[in-house]
Amino acid sequence: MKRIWVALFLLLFSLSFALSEFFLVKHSYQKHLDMLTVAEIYFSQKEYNDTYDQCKAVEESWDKNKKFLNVFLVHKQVEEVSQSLLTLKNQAKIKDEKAFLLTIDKTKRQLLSIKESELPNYENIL
Amino acid sequence: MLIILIRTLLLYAFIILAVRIMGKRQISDMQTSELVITLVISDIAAIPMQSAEQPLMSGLLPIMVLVSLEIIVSVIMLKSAKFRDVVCGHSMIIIKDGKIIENQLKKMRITYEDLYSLLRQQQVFDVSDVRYGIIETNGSLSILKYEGEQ
Repeated sequence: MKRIWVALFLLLFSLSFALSEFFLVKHSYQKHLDMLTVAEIYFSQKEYNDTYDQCKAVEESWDKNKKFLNVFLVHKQVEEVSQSLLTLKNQAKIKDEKAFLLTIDKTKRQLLSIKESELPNYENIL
Repeated sequence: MLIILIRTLLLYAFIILAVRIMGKRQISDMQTSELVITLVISDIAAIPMQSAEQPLMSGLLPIMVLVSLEIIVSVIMLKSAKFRDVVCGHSMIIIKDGKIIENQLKKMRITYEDLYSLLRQQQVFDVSDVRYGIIETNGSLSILKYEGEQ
């Protein structure tokens, strides 16, 4: 009978881990999406210094989260977002409007892709 | 490479632990579900072992779930004969009073050659020496010979 308790413990642990991952990814996505939206607003208002600071803040926040996200997600996906955020910061610095808008859009889609790939919906399960 | 080495060591230790938790059985004594689980666990463990890109938990988590389910299913099978029948099936008599029961053989999808091979492995070279022949749920053949032939 001891084995059944081990089995139940393992099942509970797996479930907790999976749920933690789901909420962490969801929270991370929302947090960084909001920060990018703020950066986009600054850029549209031609507040380039604020845009750069905001992009730097997003990058630093993502780098902090990266350690936890790498435990749950494919490392390549996480690294791609890091690269995009670095590029975004540099584009904000040189005030390259077209490139900035393309990159911010690309980064948002990468974040959305990460979030959607973790949703336990019909398409992902099948 | 160092990552792969460390992961291999960790996964090896984890698989040994998982198999210990599931309990000792020889492959020949395993039920079909147990054999499938054992094979699947080794396949799953190989994924993060080969690719450092994949998180380690993508291997460990499914193994934990499979081991838990296997233990839970085996406990339920101890308590419920009906459930055991659903999961493992039941044994079938395919030889009775020295004669092969053909329709049972067809149900089990066993050929005559397979049956004779199983008999030979039991040191039986003549079907008429066998009083009862039973195919067990793990696919092995149990025989009861006539008293003189024991």
